[in-house]
Amino acid sequence: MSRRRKSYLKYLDKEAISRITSEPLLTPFPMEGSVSGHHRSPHKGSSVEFAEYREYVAGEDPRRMDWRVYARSDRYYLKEFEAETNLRCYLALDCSGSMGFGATESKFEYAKRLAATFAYLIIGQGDAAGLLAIRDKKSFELPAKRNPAQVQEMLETMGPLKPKGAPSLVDSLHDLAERVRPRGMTVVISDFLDDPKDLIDAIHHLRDRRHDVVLFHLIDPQEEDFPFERPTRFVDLEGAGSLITEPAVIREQYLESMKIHLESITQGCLESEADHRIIRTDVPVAEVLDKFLGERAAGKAA
Amino acid sequence: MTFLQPLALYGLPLALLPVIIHLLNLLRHRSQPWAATRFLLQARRSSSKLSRLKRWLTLLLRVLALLGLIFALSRPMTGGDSLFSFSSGAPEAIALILDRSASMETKTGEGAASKRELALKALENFAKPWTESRIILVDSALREPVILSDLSTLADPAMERYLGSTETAADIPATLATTLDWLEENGVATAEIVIASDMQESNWKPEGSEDIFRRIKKILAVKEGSWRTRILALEGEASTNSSLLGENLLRRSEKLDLLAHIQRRPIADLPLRITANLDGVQSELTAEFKGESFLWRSSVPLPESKNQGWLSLSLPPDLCLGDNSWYFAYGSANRPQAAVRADLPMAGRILRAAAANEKGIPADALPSSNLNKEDLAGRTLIVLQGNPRTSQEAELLKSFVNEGGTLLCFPPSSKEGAAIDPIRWQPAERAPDSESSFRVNSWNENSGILANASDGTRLPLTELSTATRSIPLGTEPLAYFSDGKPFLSRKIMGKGAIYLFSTLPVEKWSGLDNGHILVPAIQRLLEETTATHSPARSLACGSSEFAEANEIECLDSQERKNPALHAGVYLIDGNVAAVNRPHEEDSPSLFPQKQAVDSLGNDFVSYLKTEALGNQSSRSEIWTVFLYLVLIFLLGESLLGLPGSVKKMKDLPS
Repeated sequence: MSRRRKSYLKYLDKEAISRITSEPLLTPFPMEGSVSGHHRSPHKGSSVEFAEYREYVAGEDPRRMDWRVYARSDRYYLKEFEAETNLRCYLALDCSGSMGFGATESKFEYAKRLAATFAYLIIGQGDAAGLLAIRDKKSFELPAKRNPAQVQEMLETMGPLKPKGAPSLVDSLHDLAERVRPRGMTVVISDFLDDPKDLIDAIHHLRDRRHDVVLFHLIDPQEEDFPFERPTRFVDLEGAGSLITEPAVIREQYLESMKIHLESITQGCLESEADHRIIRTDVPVAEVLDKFLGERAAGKAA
Repeated sequence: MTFLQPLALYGLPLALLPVIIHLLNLLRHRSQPWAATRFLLQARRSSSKLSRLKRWLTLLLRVLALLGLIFALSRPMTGGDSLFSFSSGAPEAIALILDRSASMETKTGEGAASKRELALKALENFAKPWTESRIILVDSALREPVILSDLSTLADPAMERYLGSTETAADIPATLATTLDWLEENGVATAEIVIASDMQESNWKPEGSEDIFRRIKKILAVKEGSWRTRILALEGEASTNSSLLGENLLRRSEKLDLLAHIQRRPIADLPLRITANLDGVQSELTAEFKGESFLWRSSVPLPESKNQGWLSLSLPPDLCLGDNSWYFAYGSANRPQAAVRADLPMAGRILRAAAANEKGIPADALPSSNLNKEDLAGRTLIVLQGNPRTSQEAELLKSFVNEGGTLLCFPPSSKEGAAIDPIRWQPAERAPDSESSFRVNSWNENSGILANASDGTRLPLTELSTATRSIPLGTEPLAYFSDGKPFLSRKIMGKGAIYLFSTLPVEKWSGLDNGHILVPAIQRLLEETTATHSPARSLACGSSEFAEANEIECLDSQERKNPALHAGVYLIDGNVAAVNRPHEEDSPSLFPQKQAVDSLGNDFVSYLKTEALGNQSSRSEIWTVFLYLVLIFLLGESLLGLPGSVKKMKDLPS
């Protein structure tokens, strides 16, 4: 293993992997996979889990006919079972300039660790994982695959990426919704500083395509606490200029604006049944994923 | 408000530090890469006025806290003239001018301190905070500036000579002028001058001291406030007081006839017990009178024939001790002979008879030719009808009056002769007819040569018919005709006086020739002049005459008294002298506040009444107040700086 490859392994959170490998990632929505898996499929199949009885239509395979029902009722019924398939998960990673912000660790670095570890877990449970690095001018896509080498591929793809440029998350999500036909899981890792209305439209679009949409909303502690006192010149990381102000004067209004922004995204996600999670980047990735998977498992059980 | 450490006030610009730091911070901002710029822009757009106000309020409170701290360090004191006085808190000198007149011994209530004692206390309190200032005391009695080593000296019995009670009158303008001169001579740059007085008008001498007041005003104006003057007015009068003012003492062959003016407040009907001390022998006299004011006549028998002696009268002690006693001195009973010169022979005869001595011998007649010094030698009263023959004779008579003689003048019957400057006689004026002759209707019945008799009988002035009169000009009227023109007038000149009747004691002029008015008037003048020329003198306390005396001995007391300060009976160069408080000390008139302040110049003079004295004198440091203010400002600043509603963010789902 080369030094370069070795360095990208740092994005795999070992604590998360050791804590979570036994916990499968489940989705509440039916998924369309290419092979058999342990996710619910919209189609009927040959699993052991009974789905329903349906009247036989001429031309269908007579082998699936339930002869016991026929013996009792003299009518032809088909006994159908749930089909179980694998999951195709797309990890959409926001690579805009704003993701480069972070007091100790940038949001982008945190996002890469979260995406890499998440992909490892997905592939580890036999599902397919793909990567969509969303950039201003040229996004990069790594199609979803289920072979273990995909993890390495993703690490090498994500590793050299740098946050840069204006946000283009909304367009990329619309594009993703149009391009990826089989329904799957779309995990968007971003700071979501785009216009909430446009963002909600994009999420609705994904949901219309029956994708399970998960938003990991990354917030740096400084963005949430706004601990500045002295007059400060804030330089926009996405090249929108700078602003000199007294933090103490605008602090309340800043926090209020941010709160409204977050609430509108949360509300939009609730309406579209997308899973919106606000993540402070000082919270360990292991804890975030543990909580996420735990709640998913509980939701499935319920 | 003044400051004990005014140098600390140079630190006042430091109060702007928070503003300067704020501006520097704005200039020296740090750069911070930021992602959520859109929220910052929104926040700045919607940043409420309240936030900005809070920011400025915080700055203001910081500035005020620093101001308070600087003021506290400068040790501010209450009691200044204005809200803030940034001059040095401690003047170079504090000049305390103490009115030590007899009226300052008045107490306003039972058990209260006298006005002089109150003044001393107030002066001590006033000067107490300024420990580094020189303290100069100038009292009205001695008028000698004395430098006090410290304030405790004000209570030192050894300072009795400069601080104790006196029976003198005060001359406040002269005392103030002396003080200002001393301050100028000693090059004092900043001074607080405090005049403690009971504001008796006679002590402030508004008439006659115009030049001194002008000079004082000029000096104070030149100093432009570096010398500040405060008048501590100790007003208020004793609720109960009796006063005794001696008017006259006549020595008869075997007795002393005395006349005294007694006043009593409040009005009472009870007789007043008076202690008389005749040459050291005490006796009790009783004055029976009703009302508030009374002219008391009494006689004291003389046990043995003495050439000279003294008599003191004392009222029982009351709230004002300074006006309870009076001292008389008496001399030989021999009355000097009067002399008469008249142009009209009839008038001359009548006047000589009216001026007869105790034995009934008519007065001497002066030669009708030019008078010379020898003619007037040993005379105390000259009665003159007509003008002096020459101007030399007029000058001779004038110098006779100036040296203490009394001249009684009657109108001239002709225009010939010279005038005694500045007196001029108007031409004779006749009444239109006998029915409408000139009538006298106004005169002083209580004192003077036309006063009522000892039994209260009035002189028959209203019955006097005057057919012809000649009015003297340049004199002070004592009795008036019904048309307001003077019947009797007087001109004080030097040590003596000229009395002038406006009519003649002859039939064609008036009814004075019957003697009912003329005889008592001339006899009283003789008595007055006898008393004046007696070797036993009556002097005012504080008079400058004592300075020239070689030997002074106190007769009425074993104590060593000084006639310049204390009333009493003294043997001065072998002659008995009764020393009493000056008559003007019994005058109740007060010098009005506005007039007092105007007299000294409005700009740098303040007037404080007795009730404000406590507040003014109780100067105290108030730095603690400023320290509390600093704490309040800092607390306010902290409250404004409390973080806002951060919990709003925490409420969000994660």
